Amino acid sequence: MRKIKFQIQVTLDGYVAGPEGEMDWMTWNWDDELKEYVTAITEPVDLIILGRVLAEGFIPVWEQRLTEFGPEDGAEKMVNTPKVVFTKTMTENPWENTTLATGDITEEVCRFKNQPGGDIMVYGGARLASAMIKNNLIDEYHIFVNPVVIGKGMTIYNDLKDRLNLKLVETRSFPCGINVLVYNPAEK
Amino acid sequence: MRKVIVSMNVTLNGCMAGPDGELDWHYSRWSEDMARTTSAHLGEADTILFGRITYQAMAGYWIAKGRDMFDAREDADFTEMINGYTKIVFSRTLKTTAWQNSRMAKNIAKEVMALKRQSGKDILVYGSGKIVTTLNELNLIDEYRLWVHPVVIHGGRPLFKTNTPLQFTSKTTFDTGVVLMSYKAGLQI
Repeated sequence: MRKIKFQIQVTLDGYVAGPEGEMDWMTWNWDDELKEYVTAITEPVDLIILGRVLAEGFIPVWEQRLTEFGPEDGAEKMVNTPKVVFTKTMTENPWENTTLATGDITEEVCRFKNQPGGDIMVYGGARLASAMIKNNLIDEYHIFVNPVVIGKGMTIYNDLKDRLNLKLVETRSFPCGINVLVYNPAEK
Repeated sequence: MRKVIVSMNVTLNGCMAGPDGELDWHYSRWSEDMARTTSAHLGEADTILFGRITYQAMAGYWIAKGRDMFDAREDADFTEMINGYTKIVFSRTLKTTAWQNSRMAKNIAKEVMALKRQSGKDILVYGSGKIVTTLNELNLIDEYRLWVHPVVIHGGRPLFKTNTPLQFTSKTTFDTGVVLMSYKAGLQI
């Protein structure tokens, strides 16, 4: 069965965005080691799952980067990998290489999981991630802890009704100040 | 100048306690190698700051421990240190301090600035979320040592209330899945 990976940028106090969606706290000057790490976890991915709000930024930004700066720094991989966008509101699909998913998240995700293929990557946004975490659909969490706390903001754990126990797999520290913590669900 | 160091167990979602102050998520993941690291940190300090709640929770335990003649050597060292060090509890309501070498204080800013100017070893803050918030607002914290547990709890009490830039310094991983992450407070230069 395909592995579902989740890659997310967080603050040290666990937020994924400021109260109004601000991302200005993020460390942007990634060092080469971190770029290599990201390339390595992205390489076996052949399906990307996004929430609609994130997709509206994500898809055009990567297309623009590919046009302006060429295939380096993952642009080619991001543009060419097939994507599924979860939405409850969109009826027309404006994106190439992308399908819309409008059904139940667990059912849809299990369907992709059971298809033959490589790893599936989830990048968020916050609402899709919350739903996937709540339904225990993530096999591998790659949590990128940025060296900052913001005190309040958006989380990906809001939908949880109970405790989420995880199993630490690996930790990596990078010169730019980001730490990546890798977890599996504890019960899997 | 002496450093003020906050040492705190936190969940992956930045909580230091459950909605009613629960710490059960942390006890089950505490291990001997974590205790050894805590002991090494304590060895570099000579003063501990508390809020009333954490102080009262710890005082009874360590006073009793101090009378235990049959303690393991490592535990005995820790007990001797924590009982021997200067302990300052910030409270407006506490009347007396029974724990040896402890005293009360009210003005956090004045007290901690005076301590920092004195010569001495590290000043540790154990638990005491409210004291940490006040110290952070006063820019008096030099370092955070966060023991990040592999758990997310629902509706817990967040450690941080305000925006704070940090500089990552080091990390230690323990067998129970806890990651000790250390940061200097303040902007990177």
